[in-house]
Amino acid sequence: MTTALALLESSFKIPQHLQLLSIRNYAISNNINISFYGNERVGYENRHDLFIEYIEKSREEAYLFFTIEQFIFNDIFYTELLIEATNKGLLLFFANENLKITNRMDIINTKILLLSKTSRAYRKISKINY
Amino acid sequence: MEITKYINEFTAQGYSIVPIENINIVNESRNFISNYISKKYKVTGSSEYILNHCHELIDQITDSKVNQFILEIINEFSKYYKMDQIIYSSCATFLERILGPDIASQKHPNIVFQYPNSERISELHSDAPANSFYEIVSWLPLVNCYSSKSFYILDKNKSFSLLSSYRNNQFNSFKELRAQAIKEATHLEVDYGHALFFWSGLLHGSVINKTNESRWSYNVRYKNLFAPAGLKEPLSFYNIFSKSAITELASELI
Ligand SMILES: [Fe+2]
Repeated sequence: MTTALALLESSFKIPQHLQLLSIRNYAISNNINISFYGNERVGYENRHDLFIEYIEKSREEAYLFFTIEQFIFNDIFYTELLIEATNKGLLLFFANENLKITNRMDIINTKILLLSKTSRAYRKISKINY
Repeated sequence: MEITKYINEFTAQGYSIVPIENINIVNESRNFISNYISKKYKVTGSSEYILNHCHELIDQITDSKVNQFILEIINEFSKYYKMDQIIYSSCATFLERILGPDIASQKHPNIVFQYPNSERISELHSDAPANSFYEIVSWLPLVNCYSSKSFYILDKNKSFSLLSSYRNNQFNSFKELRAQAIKEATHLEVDYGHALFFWSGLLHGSVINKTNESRWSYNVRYKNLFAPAGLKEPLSFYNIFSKSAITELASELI
């Protein structure tokens, strides 16, 4: 059984209790034991201060995030930290996307799949016309 | 080249029934399912017979019993088979011509079991939206499907025209729209050994299966890897199925 630190998405666009449900559900179906829950300081999510400190001190073998969106800002997918973490052999899980990242290829494939993510403008158009 | 005929048909109508070019893997996976059922219920017979008459084996059949039963089968099946691979390899020429070499496939494919008189039918709908308009739905029956054992579909022009009337409030209710759709629809006849491919924008649905045989089918959705994902979250909905050489090269620059 893997033990992971759960890191919630701290803008809380998705309410905390729903994030927790999704995280616990993912943990159960993937045999993950959650060591503790945390989140980045509200308003400073993209700095990942907590995550960086944990990586540096090698405090956990795995991290369970609520969503990959925690690494996307202004439509840019920031992969540096994910690369650093996987280079250290850490396992990264994302509950909302039912996703596991353990190596460079997983990061590449995640990036490719994210390219097809449809913009909000498209959502509006498709709803009106169909 | 014969495949061009099916591609042209798909473009014109939004769907096409394509003969499978490699039946072996489909046969093997179908036998796997029927063997599982034979062992579970201690019965013998051909795969076709067992699948067609499977509903007779389940004591006092209910939708929730069937749900449980299908989940069991999907669980066992996915230990040995990848449904997206089965369907793709059975109609590879057709699918590659339509989608190109960069392909995303649905992460959680379905096995559908529709037993006689079950009221759990698929209501009139189009998969897109919420699914991507760049998706192709594959539907591969494991038994011959005809009349109410099959399902109905409205080609591109009929789907467009019905949806536009519905948008302009020319129907008083969804019920009226559905009645008109069922009247105008093509009630498909698809024999085992063929696969139906249809565009995600087409209206389709099923009616109560009034035959005395069960319908079994695989269904998987594919789209070009780089095509818009619609309202679906690409990471949870799709797998990367295949990548072109140029995508492999560009992938090195993450
Ligand atoms: Fe559908």
